[in-house]
Amino acid sequence: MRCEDMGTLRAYLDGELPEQRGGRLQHHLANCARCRDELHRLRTTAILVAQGMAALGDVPATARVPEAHVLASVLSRRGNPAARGRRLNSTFGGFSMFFRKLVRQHRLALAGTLAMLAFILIGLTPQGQAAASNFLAQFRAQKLKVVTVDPSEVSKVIYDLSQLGLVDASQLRGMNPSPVASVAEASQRAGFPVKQPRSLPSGVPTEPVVAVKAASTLSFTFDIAKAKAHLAKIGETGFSVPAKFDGAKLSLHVPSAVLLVYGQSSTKPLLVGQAGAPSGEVSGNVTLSEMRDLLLRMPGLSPTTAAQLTAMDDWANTLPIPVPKDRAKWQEREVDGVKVLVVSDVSALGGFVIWQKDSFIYGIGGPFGEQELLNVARSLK
Amino acid sequence: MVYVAQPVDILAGDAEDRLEAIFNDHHESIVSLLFRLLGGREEAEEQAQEAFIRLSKDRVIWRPREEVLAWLRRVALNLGYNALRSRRRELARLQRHARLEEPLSRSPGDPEASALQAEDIGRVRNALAQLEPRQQACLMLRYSGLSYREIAATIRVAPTSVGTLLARAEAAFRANYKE
Repeated sequence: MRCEDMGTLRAYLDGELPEQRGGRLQHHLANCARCRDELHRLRTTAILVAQGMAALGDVPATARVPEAHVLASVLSRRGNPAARGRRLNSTFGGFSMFFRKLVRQHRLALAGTLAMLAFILIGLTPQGQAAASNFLAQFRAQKLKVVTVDPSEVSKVIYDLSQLGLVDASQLRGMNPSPVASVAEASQRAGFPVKQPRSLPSGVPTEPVVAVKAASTLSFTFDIAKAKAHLAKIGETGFSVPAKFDGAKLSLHVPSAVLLVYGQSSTKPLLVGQAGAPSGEVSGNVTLSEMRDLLLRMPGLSPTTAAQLTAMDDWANTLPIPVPKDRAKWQEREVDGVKVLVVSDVSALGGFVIWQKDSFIYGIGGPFGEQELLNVARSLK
Repeated sequence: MVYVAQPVDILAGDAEDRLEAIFNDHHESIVSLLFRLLGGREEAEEQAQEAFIRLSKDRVIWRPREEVLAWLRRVALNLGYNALRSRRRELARLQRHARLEEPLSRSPGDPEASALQAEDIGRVRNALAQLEPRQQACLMLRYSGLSYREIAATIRVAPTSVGTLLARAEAAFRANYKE
């Protein structure tokens, strides 16, 4: 073995060489006085520098500004997006820390749902209306299926998707869930009879805060020029959007929804949500299978997630419910002949149950055990 | 449920969660890094905050965590250097006008020990200041406990060249320090 350069010897001192290489070097050192001297010199210098750098010290622990305070300040200076992100919480106010966390998980899961919806849309088999002219395909959620995902993967896919074209969210402005006076008013506004739980876990107040979210549509149109610029900017070379995708459009329709929050300012709030099943359609100059292939190739999508989505046999009617991998566990249960997905936090802090019945989707969540949540679900009328 | 219909909020909220997670995990280490460079707690915290504000407005926040951290450290160091430069200018101005001499670093506690420590710190800082920026950064990052891989990502060199860069930086530091 030849003598090693200074950099390699320095890396060896820090244990930064790959194991095999380190072993070879060690062997060489045993037989080479020159390298041993060099190593000794490097070590002496490193020790001196370490002492000097140590003199610079570290921030005195007692003098540190409370981090929460700094974070709040960073968030407040971030501008509108953060303020928007907090809007839902401020609508109800007084959420406990736990509940905020839970809501975040919901939001995460449902953010995923949104992305997954896009995947389902193009995963349709060309049948029924879908086979009609204009390459139009329709999707309607009739059943639910869990897809385990890495939350950061979901954020990335959504973000990347939003950079490949134009998201038209104009119809969503000013359409936050707005509090209403009663369940009756909610039913009237939402256009469907709102169900209420007849049985609540002990200690949960019986009067809910009621809010209604109006129906809305979100669409996404591929913009090739924008997609190219984005992919070039992030240095993505393994993925591209073919030219014929220009103008291809995905639309998602989300019917009105009603949210009931029991004990919103207590430490154990219970959330009951109900909404019509989301539906969607795809149009443009590309075939369905081309669109599906493209989205399943999105750079941020892991092979495991892509495989789960590909394996869904009834794409056109299945709504994937993304569940954060490693953070939540889930199982299927049956309540009065209806299949229910029970998703719970791995640390047993709480969870939610979600199911589909008569073209409505229902969800119940909070810091409660599976049985408590199922009891509430069972009592919904 | 309701949130399905709020993709705009979902995106914004997610960015916020992400920022918060990164902040909670790394704010302290960024402050430490800047403290070594600047020697003052308040200044280090101020620059760290600025670095996080920039992160919150940058798309890099969506990249993998490792990349985000490299970006954050890079921005923090640059902010630190800028702060040092303006501080030197300010100091020079003060000295010109009022003949004031202000030590770059102040330590609380025992006055005698503080004086010694301050002298040490002054020498270290001088030795560091004479290095080229990349060498300075390399030393500060290494002695903050970062791996070669993390250093490489921060100062944008190949991981395999960190050993050489570090050895050269240390040799140069030693020469300056002994003067």
